[in-house]
Amino acid sequence: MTRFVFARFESLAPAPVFAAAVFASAVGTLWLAPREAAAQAAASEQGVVEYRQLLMSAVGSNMGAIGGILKNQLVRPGAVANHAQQMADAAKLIGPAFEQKVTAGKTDAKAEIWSDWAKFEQAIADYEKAATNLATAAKGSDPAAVGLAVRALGESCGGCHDSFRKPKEESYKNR
Amino acid sequence: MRPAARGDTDRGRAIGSAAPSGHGIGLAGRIGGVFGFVLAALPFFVVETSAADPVAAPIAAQAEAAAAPAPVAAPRGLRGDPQAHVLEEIARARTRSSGIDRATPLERGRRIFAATGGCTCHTDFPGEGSEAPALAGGRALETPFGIYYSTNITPDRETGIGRWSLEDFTRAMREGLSPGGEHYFPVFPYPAFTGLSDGDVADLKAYLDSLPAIRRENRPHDAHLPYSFRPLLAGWKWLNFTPGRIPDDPALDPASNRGRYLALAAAHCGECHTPRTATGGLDRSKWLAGSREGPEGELAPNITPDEKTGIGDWSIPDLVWYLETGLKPDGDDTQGLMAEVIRHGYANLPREDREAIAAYLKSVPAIENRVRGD
Ligand code: HEC
Ligand code: HEC
Repeated sequence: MTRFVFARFESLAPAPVFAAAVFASAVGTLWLAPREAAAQAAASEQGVVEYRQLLMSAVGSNMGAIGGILKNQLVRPGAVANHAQQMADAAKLIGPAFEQKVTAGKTDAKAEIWSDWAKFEQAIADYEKAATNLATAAKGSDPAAVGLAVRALGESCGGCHDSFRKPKEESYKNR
Repeated sequence: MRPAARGDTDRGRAIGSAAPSGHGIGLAGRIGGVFGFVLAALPFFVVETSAADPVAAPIAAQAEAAAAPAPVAAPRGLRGDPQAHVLEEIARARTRSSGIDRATPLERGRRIFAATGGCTCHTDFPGEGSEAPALAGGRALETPFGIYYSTNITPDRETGIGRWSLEDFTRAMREGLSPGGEHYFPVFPYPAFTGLSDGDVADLKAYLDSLPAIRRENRPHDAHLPYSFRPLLAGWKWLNFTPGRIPDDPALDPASNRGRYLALAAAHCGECHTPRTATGGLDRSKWLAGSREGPEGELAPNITPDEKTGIGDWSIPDLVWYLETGLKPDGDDTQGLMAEVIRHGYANLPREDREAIAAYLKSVPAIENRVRGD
């Protein structure tokens, strides 16, 4: 088999040239492979961080939109419930987004996420419940209940951030 | 207890025409006594259901139904709230005696307590979590000058302030002096509280006296010299402390003056948001312009209306909403001390008080001072 291949190439190129090419490609593979793998891993770590931060920003944007409607007294029937439902749905994305441990680089995630994953999952569950409660309250008839549900949802962010997100003094945004 | 008349005139001077009821309860008084107080103390959604209120409609429409009656029970149900039982008390009083249009000292006291941020420095949330004994002290307050431990301000007679007379309490708040005549370290923000009216101080004491007494000895401070040496505080005070009430600013309208009074004397926004001088006094040339070394080492942002480094792009509704929910215009939440003073304090103010504070914030000079990267 090998012989056959060699035979075919030998017919196309002189032996020394072929040998050099084989050598070069072997060296190239050996030398480049780990670097490429490292680069790929770094890119994916950065990608992991980027994605989970964008997910958080989406959560924040929905929260901001709810505030934007209520504090400015805009009339947008159904909108608060819709945003709250989006936030409840996003809860399903948080766990997978943080599954891979990445603590290096431009991130505010604390290592405690991975050393106390059960508590992190509990914080996700509390947040999901608070979001669902708001979605329900916003479909109901009691504005006071909406107000309390908004505050409880806001506090559920803190329920996770207090333990798992670096304080602003240490944030990558302030470095 | 002070004679009511004296307190009321005093209060009238303190907050000017911003308190039209003359009982220091403004909107609440207008809605109607105890009932109004409960309404006003709830998040602003409830106030907005008042039929006479033109802004009630949008919120009600948001909820896709007609305005609902305010719930009677304590509305918080959120993390550890020392006021909960008082709210219930007020709610019960409301069902007993609806229609009395006069707030009790307790109700007014609860309002001023909320304006202080709920005195959360006296509850050890960082050390003991949300179930920490309310106002029983023992919280480590890290400052550049050492670690101070907050004191027990529950009505316990042995370890708290249960034996204090109104005069003792007033002297502590207004002059920074203990009942035994010792100077307090300025981690206790008496340079702000000195601006409180006699009436508000008395009401605040009535409220604190109504809370559960908790027995817990105070811990000695852990400050380094010379900041551990009390007699030197006389010098500090001479440099950095101007006792006495804050006169109204004639350039401001009554609501902004009410907000100024609340922000300066009760809510002590400046104690955290203003950077300090080398001697630990507030650098008044950078009023509210942010501090990298706020209490407990926290970064307190620039909250002047500066467009680049402050919060010039926040609208009044943004500010009012923030002081109720801790949610910033971009939807992000608040961490640390600010989250505490909102949750246990400013959020429990009647909405008009948060609006007044917002109006005042919009009136302070914009100062360019970058304290953080974004
Ligand atoms: C279960 C935990 C958890 C919950 C619940 C949670 N967050 Fe986060 N959030 C995090 C973590 C961890 C980070 C830091 C991520 C990083 O920098 O890698 C973060 C970061 C953020 C950021 C900054 C993103 C960036 O670009 O750096 C925003 C904004 C945010 N969260 C908003 C919210 C809001 C608003 C809520 C509640 C409605 C909320 N989060 C609920 C864990 C949570
Ligand atoms: C006990 C200290 C403390 C007191 C008192 C305090 N603040 Fe703060 N404040 C902070 C800290 C710390 C932050 C940063 C919180 C964060 O970003 O998570 C903050 C954040 C804020 C922000 C958000 C600014 C931004 O750019 O994100 C506003 C607005 C604000 N405070 C207004 C006030 C007002 C108004 C008062 C008085 C009524 C006040 N604060 C009293 C410590 C305090």
